[in-house]
Amino acid sequence: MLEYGLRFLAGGIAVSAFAALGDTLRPKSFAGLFGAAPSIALATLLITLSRKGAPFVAMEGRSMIVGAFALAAYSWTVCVLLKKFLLSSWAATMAALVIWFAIALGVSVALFRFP
Amino acid sequence: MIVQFKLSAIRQTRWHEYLVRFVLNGAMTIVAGLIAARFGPVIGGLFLAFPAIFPASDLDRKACPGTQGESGPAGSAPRQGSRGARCRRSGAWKFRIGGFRPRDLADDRAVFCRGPRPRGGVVARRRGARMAGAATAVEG
Repeated sequence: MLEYGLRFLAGGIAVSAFAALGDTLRPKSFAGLFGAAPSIALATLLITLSRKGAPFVAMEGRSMIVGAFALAAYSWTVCVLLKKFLLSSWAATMAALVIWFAIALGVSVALFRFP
Repeated sequence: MIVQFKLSAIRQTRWHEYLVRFVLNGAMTIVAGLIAARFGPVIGGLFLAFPAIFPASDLDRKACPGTQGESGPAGSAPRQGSRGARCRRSGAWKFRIGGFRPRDLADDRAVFCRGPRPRGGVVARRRGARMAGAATAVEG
């Protein structure tokens, strides 16, 4: 329970810090880089390392690479939905999650033979 | 491009926006941990790269720099949602994919940041006018 409490605090603080940093920087085209910061990973990898050891974290890191490619595709999809289809940002970011799940899970199955 | 650090921008963000970000992303971090515990590190690792900050950032109300919405002129509430987030989003990737360039976003940023979104008819008319102008230029 304590572990998950720590995760909640660390995740919330890390993401809020990156978001605040993005707010303070100009131009916004540069500040947007911080929207792709691996905040969840930063918050949890240290906790996972101490609890479950290096091999577990190494496997998670390998999957994170796939997740990062899915994030790139997700970001591109959001841009297209906003620019070409003029969706609201909430609808675009939510709809594009389908792309993230499809690519992340699809590539994982193909590469890692999972499950 | 000159990068500037504007600390006063933090004060323009309302406290409940930070709260929403904190709670949403703290919860997502817990979910990522639960998924790793239940399904193992391969699937769990994927969710370490989950775009949690992205949707949460869309909740803010800021507009772009250089427009009326940024400082919130008296009597005008910027439209809920996302014009600031749209502008910020344009920096999240830097590659040209499928003929869609970041520069396109930069060109359209002023349109995104200005006032309410135009209706479909207005957009169609603008596109028509643009195409007519291009045709004229080619013919000329």
